[in-house]
Amino acid sequence: MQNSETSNETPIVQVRGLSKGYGKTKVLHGIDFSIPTGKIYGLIGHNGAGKTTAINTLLGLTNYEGDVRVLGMEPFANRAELMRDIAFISDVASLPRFLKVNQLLDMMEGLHPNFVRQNAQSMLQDTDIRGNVKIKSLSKGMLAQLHLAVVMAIDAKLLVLDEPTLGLDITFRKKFYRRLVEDYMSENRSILITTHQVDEIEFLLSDLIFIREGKIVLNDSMDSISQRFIQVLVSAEQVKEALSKRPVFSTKQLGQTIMIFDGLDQETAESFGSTSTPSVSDLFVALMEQKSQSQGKL
Amino acid sequence: MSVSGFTATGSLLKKEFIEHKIPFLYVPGIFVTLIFGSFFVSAWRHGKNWEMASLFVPQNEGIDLFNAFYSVSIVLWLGYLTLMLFVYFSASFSADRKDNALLFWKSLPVSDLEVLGVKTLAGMLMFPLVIMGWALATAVFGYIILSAVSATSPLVAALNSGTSLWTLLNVEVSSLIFVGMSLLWYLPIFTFVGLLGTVLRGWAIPAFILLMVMVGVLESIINFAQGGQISEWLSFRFEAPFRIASDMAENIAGNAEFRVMDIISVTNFVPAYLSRIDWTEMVAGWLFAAIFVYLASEYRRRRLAA
Repeated sequence: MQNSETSNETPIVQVRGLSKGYGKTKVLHGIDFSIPTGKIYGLIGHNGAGKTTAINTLLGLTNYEGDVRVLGMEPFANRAELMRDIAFISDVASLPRFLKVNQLLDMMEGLHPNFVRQNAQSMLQDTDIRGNVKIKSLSKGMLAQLHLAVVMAIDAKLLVLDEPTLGLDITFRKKFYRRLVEDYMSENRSILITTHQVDEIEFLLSDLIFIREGKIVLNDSMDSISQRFIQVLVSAEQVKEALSKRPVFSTKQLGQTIMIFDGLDQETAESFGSTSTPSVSDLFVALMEQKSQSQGKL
Repeated sequence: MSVSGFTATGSLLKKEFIEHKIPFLYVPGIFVTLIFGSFFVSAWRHGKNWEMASLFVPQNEGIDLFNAFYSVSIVLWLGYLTLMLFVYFSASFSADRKDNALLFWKSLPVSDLEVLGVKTLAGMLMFPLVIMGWALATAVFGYIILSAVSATSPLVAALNSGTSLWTLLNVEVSSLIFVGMSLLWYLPIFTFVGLLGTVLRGWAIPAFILLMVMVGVLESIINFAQGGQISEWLSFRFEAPFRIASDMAENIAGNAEFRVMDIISVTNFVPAYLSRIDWTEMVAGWLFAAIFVYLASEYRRRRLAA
């Protein structure tokens, strides 16, 4: 996959200096990022880090300061028009409970120009959800399944998934992510996902954004990240030397010291101990625990 | 794969109908079934008493009884409709927030103004037509009952089906005009309640009543218990359609040869009613209604993100 920084195409999402506050509390502090076509971005952060606020601005659900362009449009002024080409699911099952499943599909067909009913029905065939059932009678897991089926039946250019698999069991989660990559993803689409179950989506991401206290602390492609960051199980006698190379993270587990370095060459790293590529969750913990991270450096 | 504005409006109207069918479809259906069911049960259990009772019916033609019955039922249905629409506008403008579903509605390519516009259309056209349908059903049941009464009483002339149909047509068209004009007259009040509902949700009706009372009380205090222009104007806005209809009925009833049909006749009622409407006030009301719907949509767009 092409790196976002080298793409010549106009990005689907372009964010410059995005700030947002609620009263005196500032949630986003002038963040910048872009999402080009054909990429799957993971937006990862703690609760309250600003993920949902950032997503809400992209979806035109809230006003903001800064310059935001989604599919070339200013989202807050053009939400309805944007929603023709954007599909999203929020972190809570938010389907209207008074409708039956078939009535929901009828309504989607009537309201959404890019909704393909057969695709939704095909996804629902793998579930216990029946068309003549009222949505309010569905379990939390079934609600999430139905919402995902409806959202993935929209032929959108940008799919935004905010904690999409909350409440779903592991079997359906894996099935959903596999389907997302195999059936839904194409070079004409982009996907932005937030989730706390980072390890489950690591395999499908092309790019990663870490957000902490309203600031982006990492924004890079997965390929670049695997080259930049290196995890070392440092031998006891090398700890002092390794610390002098300013690891981004250092911890002791079962008497052993584990460090994560940014930009350390492989040869030096191997001289400290055995090396590996940190998982996204390890990297997340490392960067979130860094107290004085410089955004410019990353 | 294109969705026209007409299809989208139809889908949103259908959604409104499904969401609010209980007060406009089921409850009236239960009313009609219970009331006319009671008549039939009564006729079955007290058949002879019904014959006796019909002796107390004023000597008149059956058709006049039918006219009077249908006209009264229309007024009752209009009262029910007004009350339900008041509740509908207070609830429906914020109903999409129920069950956290607003995020779902906002994920659709429909603007907040369009959504509230369709809710207004549903309140002004779709649900009134449903209630008028129930009024028609009431007329049919009433016709059957009065036919039964006239068959048992020598004092009540049999209903002629052709004349009854003519009456039905007159009452239906006259009442449609009356209901339509009344709803258009009350549109700014309904949409103002909708605006309050968008902001205050379930507190919209108490807030509206409180606001009206406060205006009256404050003006009364300022004017040393002499009332005032605002209170007078509010009374005028609330009472005008019914006052016009009532004045017309009194004028016609004052004639010696008065018959109910004279009031409800389309040719008598419609031109007279339309000519008495204050059209400047009517159009000004529509402008205010448009402003209220726009303000509610902006609030929904700006303040109800998540």
